[in-house]
Amino acid sequence: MAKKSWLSMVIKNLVRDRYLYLMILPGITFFSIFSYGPMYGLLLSFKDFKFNLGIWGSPWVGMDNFQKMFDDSDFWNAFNNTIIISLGKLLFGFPFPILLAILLNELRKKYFMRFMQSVLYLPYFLSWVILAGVLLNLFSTTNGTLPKMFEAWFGIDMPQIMGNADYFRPLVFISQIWKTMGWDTIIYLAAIAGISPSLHEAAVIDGANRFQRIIHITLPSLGFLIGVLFVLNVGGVMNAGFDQIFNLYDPGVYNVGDILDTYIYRVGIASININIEYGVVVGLIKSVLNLLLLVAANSALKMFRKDSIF
Amino acid sequence: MRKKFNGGTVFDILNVVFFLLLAVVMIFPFWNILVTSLVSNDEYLSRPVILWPKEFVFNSYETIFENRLMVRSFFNSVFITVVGTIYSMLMTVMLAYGLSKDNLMWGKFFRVFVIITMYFSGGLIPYYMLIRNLELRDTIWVLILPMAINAWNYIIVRSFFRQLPEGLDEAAKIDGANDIMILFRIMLPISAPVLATFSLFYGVEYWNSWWYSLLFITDSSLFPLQYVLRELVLVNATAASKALSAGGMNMFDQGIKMATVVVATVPILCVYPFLQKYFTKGVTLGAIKE
Repeated sequence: MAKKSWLSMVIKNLVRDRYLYLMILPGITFFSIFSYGPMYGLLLSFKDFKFNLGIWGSPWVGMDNFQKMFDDSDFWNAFNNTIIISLGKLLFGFPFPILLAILLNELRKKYFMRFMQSVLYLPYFLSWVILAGVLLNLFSTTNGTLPKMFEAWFGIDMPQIMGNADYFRPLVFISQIWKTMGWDTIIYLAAIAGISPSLHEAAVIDGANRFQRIIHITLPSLGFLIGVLFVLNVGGVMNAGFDQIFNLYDPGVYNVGDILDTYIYRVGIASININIEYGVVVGLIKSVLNLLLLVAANSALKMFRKDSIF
Repeated sequence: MRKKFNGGTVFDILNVVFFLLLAVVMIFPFWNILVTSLVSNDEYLSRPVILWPKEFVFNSYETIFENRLMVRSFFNSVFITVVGTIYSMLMTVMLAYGLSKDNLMWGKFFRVFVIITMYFSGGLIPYYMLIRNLELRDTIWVLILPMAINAWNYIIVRSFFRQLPEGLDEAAKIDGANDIMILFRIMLPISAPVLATFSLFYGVEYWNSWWYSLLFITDSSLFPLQYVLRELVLVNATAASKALSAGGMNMFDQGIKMATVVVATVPILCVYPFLQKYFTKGVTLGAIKE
């Protein structure tokens, strides 16, 4: 009897909200196929993949693929580079949007502020394919503008920047900052706009100048947001920026620039003797570490606030 | 009083100077490309640094627009961007609206189902094999179908629907409207800023996509512009530009490449500044909720 009333309640709900279920059906189907579908392929981590036998039919090999990975120096190179490049981007890049947002906010002419925002947002909207072309046209030793400029104006030979292992990481850090610092000001600007004017008025009455107000009012008001964004960024450390690296690197800089994502692509898809299950294993390790970091970041944030993202 | 006034002014001037210098750093790389695309080969070779062309020449653009592959790829990109944006917006808005209802049975389950995909994925290789098995390779749909919903966009749109006043739909329901009609006739018309923001985000994503075409497309008639640009500028520059200028046009490698970069950039440049006040709000909305 209880079961029947449960069933009739379910049916009643399904009928009442049939159009809502109809609306979420395409989206749920999409995630089922394109996000959950590939998870089946993770079985290959424990198998020796044979094309003719398929994923399920291929023989099990236990942890052999993992053992191979731990013994693979190219894997460790890509692993270390991923961490180094991610943390480098975070440490060098993180302060810029904060500083820029504070300075933008101090601009008196609002039309100039809006103009600067438009200018600063531009690279964010462009692909790394375009930006790699832009960087090549600037730095290329054969026909880049800056080397020619340095020679013509100052008589200085500029070192080779593109494809040079010594400069690859700085190039990645600086081009990343250049692309995203403007965009990342948006959230800080909104937070600054939300600071109660009465705080500033009170400080002015107490005789505080603009620098003192920035240090004692604006920055502390941003403190919470800065903390949240920093933790969220740490959660994304396994993603070192595939699009950027892939469009800027070449075999000459693998030792400093090859990251897990690019390594997985080369091992599993684009090499002469591809090793599919090996690419799957490296991808699985990356996904698992990524998951752990995100969960850690999310629980760190829960200490700050009650909302979770569900 | 006087001291404070002076200090403020000096700071203001320095601040403006700082931003003007920053504007040069941001704009010069693009100016440099525009100029290279607009000079003749002779001028490019004879002047080491060109800040302003002596003579504006449109040869590079003529070469591009007379080239079948180039024109084809441009229209492929337009098609992917337009169809893809409409498709993604429909999928995202419907999912977000449906799951914004608190009293939807199993709603929590579906919300978690979507959020999990942000935390864990099967990785590149299983994804690649899935697309092969679905036989989506070498179709234009592989550049659209798998990009339907960005989970992050879904979250922000959903939180937008949640903060709309409750009871908006009550009157319509009494008049016999169903949820689909309510979404499209009542909710969407008051959501213009959000729709503009996410159409921009999706549009940019589709316009800029090159990775799936590298993975899944071998038929050159299906290449999008960004892929051709990548081949031309980054991969096999000389061979690709030779193929492009095979018609016997006056060949000017660097000019042709940079003109292609300009063609790929201009559509974005024409759109985002006008949506600025919307997307700054859209980004902030999600951030505050999260």
